[in-house]
Amino acid sequence: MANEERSNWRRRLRIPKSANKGDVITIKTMAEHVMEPGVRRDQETGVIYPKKIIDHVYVRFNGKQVFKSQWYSGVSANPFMSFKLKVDTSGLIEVEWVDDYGQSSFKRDTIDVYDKNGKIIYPFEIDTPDSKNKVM
Amino acid sequence: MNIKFIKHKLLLSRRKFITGISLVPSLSFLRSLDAKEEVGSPFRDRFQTYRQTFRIEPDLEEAKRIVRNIIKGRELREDLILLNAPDIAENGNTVPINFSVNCSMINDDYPEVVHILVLDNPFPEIAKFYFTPQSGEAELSIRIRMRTSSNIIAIAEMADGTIGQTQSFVDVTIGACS
Repeated sequence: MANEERSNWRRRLRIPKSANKGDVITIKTMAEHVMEPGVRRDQETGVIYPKKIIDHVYVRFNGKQVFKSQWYSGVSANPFMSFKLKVDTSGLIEVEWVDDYGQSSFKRDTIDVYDKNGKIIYPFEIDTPDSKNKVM
Repeated sequence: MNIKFIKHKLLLSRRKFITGISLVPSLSFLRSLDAKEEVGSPFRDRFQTYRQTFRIEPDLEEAKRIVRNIIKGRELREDLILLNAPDIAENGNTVPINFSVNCSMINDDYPEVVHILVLDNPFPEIAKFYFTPQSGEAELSIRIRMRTSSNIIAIAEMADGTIGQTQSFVDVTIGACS
């Protein structure tokens, strides 16, 4: 099981497509990973499977790190984690899983945030003729 | 007026400065002696970061020392953190838990780190979660491994230095081999 070579380990990230300003959304993440604790033995040969776990998870919103977690061998295989995030502007949510061996993989998704009038809020300011006049 | 004769009053005289410097190493030596008992991180705590491929037996005293390292003699706040774990878990490989911290995530009133520990595991540390004020609520759910039926401990370290702890007992029928 541990020595099984696979390349298509899936990473999952589920967030709502849209939200209102100031809402607290839940982010659900799941990573397919063996999370080998390094103490398990092969029943026939008695060889110990080497330790291989995901030890860091970083979450970034519009490039800024908003949440970090450090895992040890006690987290179960195919680790699932869900947590909250407060959104004020629409933008990009990025989750990165970093392995014991330094291999990293990420998944990202965007969310649209609307204000009371139903207008979308962008994470940057858009130049209009009026805003140019204000600066001048 | 001659500029040569104006004397500035120094905060530290030369003598005080030299004696102060000579005292620093002796003081740090005393602190390191004290650390061996309580504050220094225990063997198992450091050992987790390395890749380890042999069997190790669970040690309750070591686990309690890790908990003591985190708390560092601070007073525990009541009802700060709420931990939800099942009473009976059939499979020790996946025990779903979730916790939430009672706080308004404004200014300093947010948990900087939340630790999850299982005392009877060979490696009691399970995860650390670093929150920021931008994560609107400090609420999280995750699945963990447990070897035998034991206590799960959740400790929340707030940004203003206060600390809170809860624990709940989980009965495990088939344990994980971690």
